[in-house]
Amino acid sequence: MIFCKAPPLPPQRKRKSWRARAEAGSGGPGSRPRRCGCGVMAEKFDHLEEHLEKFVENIRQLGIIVSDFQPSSQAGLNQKLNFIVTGLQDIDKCRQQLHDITVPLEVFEYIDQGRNPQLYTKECLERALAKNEQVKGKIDTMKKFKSLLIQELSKVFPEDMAKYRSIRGEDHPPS
Amino acid sequence: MRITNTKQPDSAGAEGKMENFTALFGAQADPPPPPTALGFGPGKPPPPPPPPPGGGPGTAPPPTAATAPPGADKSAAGCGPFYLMRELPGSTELTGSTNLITHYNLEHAYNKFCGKKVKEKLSNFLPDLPGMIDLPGSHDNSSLRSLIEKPPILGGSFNPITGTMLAGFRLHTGPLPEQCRLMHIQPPKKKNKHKHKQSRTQDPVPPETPSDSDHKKKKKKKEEDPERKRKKKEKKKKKVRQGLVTTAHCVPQYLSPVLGGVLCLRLDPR
Repeated sequence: MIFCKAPPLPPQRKRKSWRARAEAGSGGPGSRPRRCGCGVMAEKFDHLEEHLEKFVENIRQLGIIVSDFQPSSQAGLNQKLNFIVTGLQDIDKCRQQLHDITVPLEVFEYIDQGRNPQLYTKECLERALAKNEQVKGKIDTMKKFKSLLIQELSKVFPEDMAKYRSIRGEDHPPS
Repeated sequence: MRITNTKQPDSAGAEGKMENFTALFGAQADPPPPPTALGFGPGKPPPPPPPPPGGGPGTAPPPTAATAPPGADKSAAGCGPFYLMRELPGSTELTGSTNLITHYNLEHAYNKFCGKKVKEKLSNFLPDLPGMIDLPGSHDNSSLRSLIEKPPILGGSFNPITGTMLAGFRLHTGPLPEQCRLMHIQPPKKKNKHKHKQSRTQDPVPPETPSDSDHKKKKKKKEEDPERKRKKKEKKKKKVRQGLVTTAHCVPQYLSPVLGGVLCLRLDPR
């Protein structure tokens, strides 16, 4: 690209892709479908990411051209504008391939607040573990209650409880 | 679970009672099925007939309902005195009693996100994105939420901008005002402070006692000091030889290095 009198554009950044980072940690809100082991899904994400990165880079370069505009850089500006249109077309094509991907709305709230969306994943995991522990506690307590109830009922209604056990297929009363 | 006593105080035995019970409910032609909307198996059977007034409490005989073999249908008829019985959940059923994070192989993700601190800002997740992305989207109306709630009106396809349309993109020459240069603003990045520590750790120096090292430094200073003194003395001697003694004495000491030089130039006998 040649821009006469226009400010020289900085070289294109070599971005470390967020997808690579997410895959390294096997996390992130959008990383779940990729871990299914199918390469087709990963390829779709790769395409989208590539197009998004190109688009962002084009926008950045367009911003640099516009920030100190010279008459001679009009051709470059026109070219960039058309690059952006083609970039949008490419991203729109990716939409058809990713129609089955669902993203929780809460992730958008995190992004809108300028927060790291990985925090959402973290909080989800923490919430899941806490709820898991809570339910496990309930189940354990109910099991204890059941065994105690059967124990006490066996004292008061031995025959009924014997029948109950026979129905349940329990030979010995649970301890 | 509820255990019912089907006692009839006036009857002679259990069999008689059962007969009475069946006679009471068997006379009805095709009773409607009990409601099972909640999924609790067969519905609650109708309550037993109220005891006659003569019957006193505490005369309940042992239950006499027919027993069902294990594994049989747990209907109201088959369970004897028990009703509302359901099949126990199988041990293979996935419940909250198992560690679901381990079950779904999410330990790695859990350790990654919950084991260490995740950086708060969005720019830490997308470090290469230009602009100030850490600011809330509601400030400049760039939130994704608003994009979902009020999607932009699209024509259906993206068409390239033709020559005549590009005429609308002729801009004024010159730089943008500072307040409009949002693209160049980047969130400040923290410097890596661990470099020094790493270099130190890479070249481990045998630990020295502080007294030893101090002593060596002092020695160096002592060694340097006499040399300096000698040089100073030699300079003074040179000045004296050049006939600047009287003037140097008149000048205050703090000005002597400055004025001494000037006088040296003026009074140079050569």
